[in-house]
Amino acid sequence: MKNRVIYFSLLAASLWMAATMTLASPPQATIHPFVKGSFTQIQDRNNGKPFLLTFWSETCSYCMDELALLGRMQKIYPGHEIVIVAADPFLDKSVIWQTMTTHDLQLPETWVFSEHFPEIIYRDVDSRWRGELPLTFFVDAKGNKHKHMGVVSEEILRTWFEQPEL
Amino acid sequence: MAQFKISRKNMKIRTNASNISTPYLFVLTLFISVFGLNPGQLLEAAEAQYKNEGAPAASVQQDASTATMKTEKTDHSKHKMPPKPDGVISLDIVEKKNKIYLLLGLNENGKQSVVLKTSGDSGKTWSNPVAVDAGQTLKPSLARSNDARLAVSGDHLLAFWTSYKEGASHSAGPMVIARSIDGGQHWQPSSSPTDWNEGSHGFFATDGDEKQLHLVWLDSRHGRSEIKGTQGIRHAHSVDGGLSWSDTITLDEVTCACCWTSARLHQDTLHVLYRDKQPSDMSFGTLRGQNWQRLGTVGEFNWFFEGCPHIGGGMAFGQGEYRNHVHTVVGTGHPEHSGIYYLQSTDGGKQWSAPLRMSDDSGLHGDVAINEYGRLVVVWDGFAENGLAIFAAEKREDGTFSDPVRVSSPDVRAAFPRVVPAGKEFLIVWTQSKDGKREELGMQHF
Repeated sequence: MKNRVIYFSLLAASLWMAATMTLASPPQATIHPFVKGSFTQIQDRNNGKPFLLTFWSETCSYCMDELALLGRMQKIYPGHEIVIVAADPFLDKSVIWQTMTTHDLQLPETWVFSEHFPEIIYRDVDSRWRGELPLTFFVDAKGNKHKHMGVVSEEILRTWFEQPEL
Repeated sequence: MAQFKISRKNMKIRTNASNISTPYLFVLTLFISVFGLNPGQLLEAAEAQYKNEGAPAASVQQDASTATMKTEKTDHSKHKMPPKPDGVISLDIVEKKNKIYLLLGLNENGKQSVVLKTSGDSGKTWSNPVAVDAGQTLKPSLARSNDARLAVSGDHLLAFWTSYKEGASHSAGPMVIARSIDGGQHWQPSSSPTDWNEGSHGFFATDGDEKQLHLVWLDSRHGRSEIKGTQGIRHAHSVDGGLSWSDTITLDEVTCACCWTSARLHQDTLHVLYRDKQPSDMSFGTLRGQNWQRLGTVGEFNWFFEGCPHIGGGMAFGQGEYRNHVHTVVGTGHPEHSGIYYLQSTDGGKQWSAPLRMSDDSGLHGDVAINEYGRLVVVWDGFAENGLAIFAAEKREDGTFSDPVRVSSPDVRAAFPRVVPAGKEFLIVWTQSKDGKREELGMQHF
């Protein structure tokens, strides 16, 4: 009898947890290939809507800090356009999803370098970018790009997100 | 499917031992799976409990909780690193007494290995590759910019590289050491220079002469520094061909965590060039005996960068009346000064000339060498029309450099060049690829 109670308790708990997790988990982001021209494509698609774009790498601990910060900012300033791009060519999808989950970043889509030679993308994105990470671009409504090399501080992010035009 | 097999296997054991029936184990497995716990671990914990009849049920939960934490940590660290290409993924080159040693790290279908080739005719012909990693139990974790390194001390050769460690940050483990006492024909595992074996260790720089072998490396033995993205630079040396090692000393506790270092013996003194932190400029120092002295900054760009540069430098020394001349190339990513620079010191590294940029602002990784005729050549990789390409330039007597010459073929992407004297010429080596899937060794006399 005691065993049956344990049995059904475990079964019920498992089913409840499974259902909860299924309902609570956000859908996994669609991962797009980021190639030469993708930055312009993203800019065109936003069509005057300001956005923030961060390049990150699995091997860059600073990048992980920045992603965590973006995850927090996303909750404080919902609705703002955040784009993240994995700069490791052909990084495994599971790593990208796991990284987003770990840092609580809920985005419908994301990007990953899909050129075997990343410098082709570096030069296309910014003629002076040589692969340093993290690299963040703040693109305003007029399409002006402000580049920040290295991890972005919370203060800078708050200033950006609190702009009236955003 | 794998979990099911594990469960079935364990079920048989426990059905006999403890009267647990299949449905209960199924639900138990389902429960644990939902909560992210590896059933194998839980069953292991349960087995431990059943073996201990006096233990209360709570102890199982405690074990399970511990197992959960362990699993979460493991899962997190199971992040796959970006895929590595096949072919040559690590490269070091050493010239000693007119013999050239080429240490290559290879990757074939995910299996990495380390081999040595030698040349006695300035790089015109090469020996067959010899397995340097023979007998090693730890798998290598090789990459350009964190390459396996070679030191030569007469017939004693030592090779160092980072091991692969599942679950570790960047999958990097403790250093691996291989030793040869016959000029590189045969190799075997050797004693570790470090007094902190846990690792990870990486970004090795090493050099030797007839009397001594020195190794410099980065590790985080004291945990994370308050300044993010840093490691300490350590040193040990051997005077018996690598059989035993001195105590480890720390040269600088706060350096860039991901930039390669350079170490060269000259006039019985070890000279070390490494990337510092705050600012992320290159520092230079000397080690005489156990006395370390940081002499200064090579290229004061004031590059304050909270990120991962993955860029180091190279150095060479004058001879005869110019023996106190130190020549370096350093890279910087400073937004207003990015590129590869040449700097010279005429007083052993205390003061440095103004940085002279090699070509445009796209230079990334560089090296420098001087041959016995006094010729000085700088090599670097920089952006060309189809990606990175290798360039070389020679220093003229008036202190300026010749126009850069592209030494890699236009149909390949080429990076991470190294250069050594090769008779009257120089031998430049690098890694190159046509499709990014396979890296090959590139080589050119200059």
